[in-house]
Amino acid sequence: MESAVVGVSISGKSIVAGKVKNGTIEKSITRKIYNRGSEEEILSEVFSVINEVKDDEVAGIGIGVPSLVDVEKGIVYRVQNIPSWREVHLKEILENHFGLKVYVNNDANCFAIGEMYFGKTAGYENSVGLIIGAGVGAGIIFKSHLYSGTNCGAGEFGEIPFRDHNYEYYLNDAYFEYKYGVAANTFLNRANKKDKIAKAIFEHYGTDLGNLIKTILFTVDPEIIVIGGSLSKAFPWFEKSMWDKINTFPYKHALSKLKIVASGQEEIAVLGAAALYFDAQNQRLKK
Amino acid sequence: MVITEKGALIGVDLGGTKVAAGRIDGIGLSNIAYELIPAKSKDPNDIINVVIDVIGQLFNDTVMGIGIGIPGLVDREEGIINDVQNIPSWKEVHLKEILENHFQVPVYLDNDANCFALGESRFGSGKGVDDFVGLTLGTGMGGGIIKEGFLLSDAHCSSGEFGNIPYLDSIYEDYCSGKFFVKQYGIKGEEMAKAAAMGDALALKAFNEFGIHIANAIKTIKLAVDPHKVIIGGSVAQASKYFETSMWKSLLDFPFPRAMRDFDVIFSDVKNIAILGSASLYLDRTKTREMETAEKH
Repeated sequence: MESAVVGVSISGKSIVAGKVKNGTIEKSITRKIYNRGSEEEILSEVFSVINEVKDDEVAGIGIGVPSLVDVEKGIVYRVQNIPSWREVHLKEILENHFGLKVYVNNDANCFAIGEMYFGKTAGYENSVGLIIGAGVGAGIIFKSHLYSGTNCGAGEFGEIPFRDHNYEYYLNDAYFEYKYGVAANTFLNRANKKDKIAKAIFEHYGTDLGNLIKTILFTVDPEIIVIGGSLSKAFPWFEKSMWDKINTFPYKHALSKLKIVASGQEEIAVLGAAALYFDAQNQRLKK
Repeated sequence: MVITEKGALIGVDLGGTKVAAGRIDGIGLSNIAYELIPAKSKDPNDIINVVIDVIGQLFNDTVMGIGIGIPGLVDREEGIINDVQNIPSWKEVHLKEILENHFQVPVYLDNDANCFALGESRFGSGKGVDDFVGLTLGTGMGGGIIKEGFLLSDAHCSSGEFGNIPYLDSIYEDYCSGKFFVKQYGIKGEEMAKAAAMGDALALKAFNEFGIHIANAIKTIKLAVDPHKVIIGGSVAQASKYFETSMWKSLLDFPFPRAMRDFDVIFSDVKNIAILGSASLYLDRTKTREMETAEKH
């Protein structure tokens, strides 16, 4: 029988924890947080949500954080939208507190591994999980395991220079507000009602996203890319222009086998955090 | 593994204009042969026959395997060449099968820039480095990714093709290879390097700009795959002294300074690296990390 694991997803808005067993979330809790709180205040929220879903069956804890992570030591640095978390030794703190194995990774890496264990990239050896939402980041899976690079810095495609800024600037959800004065979500609702302007804006978005995907193909070359994050809901509206841009890729044969899908699974952040535990177990079995 | 007189390897570099090959045995790279490719040939067999002929000049019964670097993408498992630049007559060529039937030893194919990275890993500045990116900057720009000492086994052989990544109004290759000098200044890179050597102010300024573009390419590579080192070869690497200052200066604003702490860029100039790299495919596929020749003993 498979172990039960607590998966925790941390962001500047909330902390979500879930008890994951046999690929489903048996129990979960979402706690809104005050993101300007002190390091200790936010840590105590983490303790509290874990306590609420944890029971005797739970064998370990996995946590996804939007930041650079020293995966081995479980240290998170300069966490996005939580200013007080500049360097938190999360693994050490939680292992001491709960007496369980704790695994910490970047949120995009959790998304990618979650999709492989419980989602759209199951059965593929090489995949990329791309998040487009409050930020733009990706997790890379090679030979069915996370590819983190030497400093856990691999997959930071959002930071890659593009036009006058970088990909994250043009592809994160705040750009819509900044550029057009209208929230991304409003455009999404309008596009769903076949509004022409909203559709044109997502078409433009797809062209930029297509450039980012070409960059992914020329760097890590996966079999499949799964797109998550709040803007992945606009997938039907940017899918065509995205592919038009990707189709300028010079290697047609390679392109003919590539798959790109939208995630569509709300709980994937928690599932993915829990999957860190399963991935670590499987890595160990292999060695 | 020791490559001795009893176990030699052949590496083949398939270029747009010629096929060059070499044999590595107990004394290192012992023999080299090459032949020009018949221009404008429409029959795919013409070039296949040149490849067989060049290998044939080096082949003997000590040869354990053959590796071939291709200017395009290959299906590694099947050994089929699907997307190849500069050889229009080649569409779906089953080169592995053809050569294995002919020579009766294992034959491995890969992208030529991947072979460069692998060559640096076994014979060059990448010896003993677990994770690095090899970048060839010459008339074009290509690259390969070494992960834990072996070539990254990607889905379609297109990983590390950094030259094709969108950049400014076109792609990195137009700013980070010899094409930069031709497109922006209308002269060849070699000419520009000569002028820089004489202290020409315009040439020095051009290389200064060039270094900034190279730094942007390196940042992109660092953000995508986060290697420990980038090893740069190809003709452009020979002019590194004219652009490395602006390159390093430009690398200072990398968004994750921690990741740059023990990072390094190395300019490499290993003779016959294309042939050595292609031959190394045998070592890569047979999971051989260390390679020694009798030379060292």
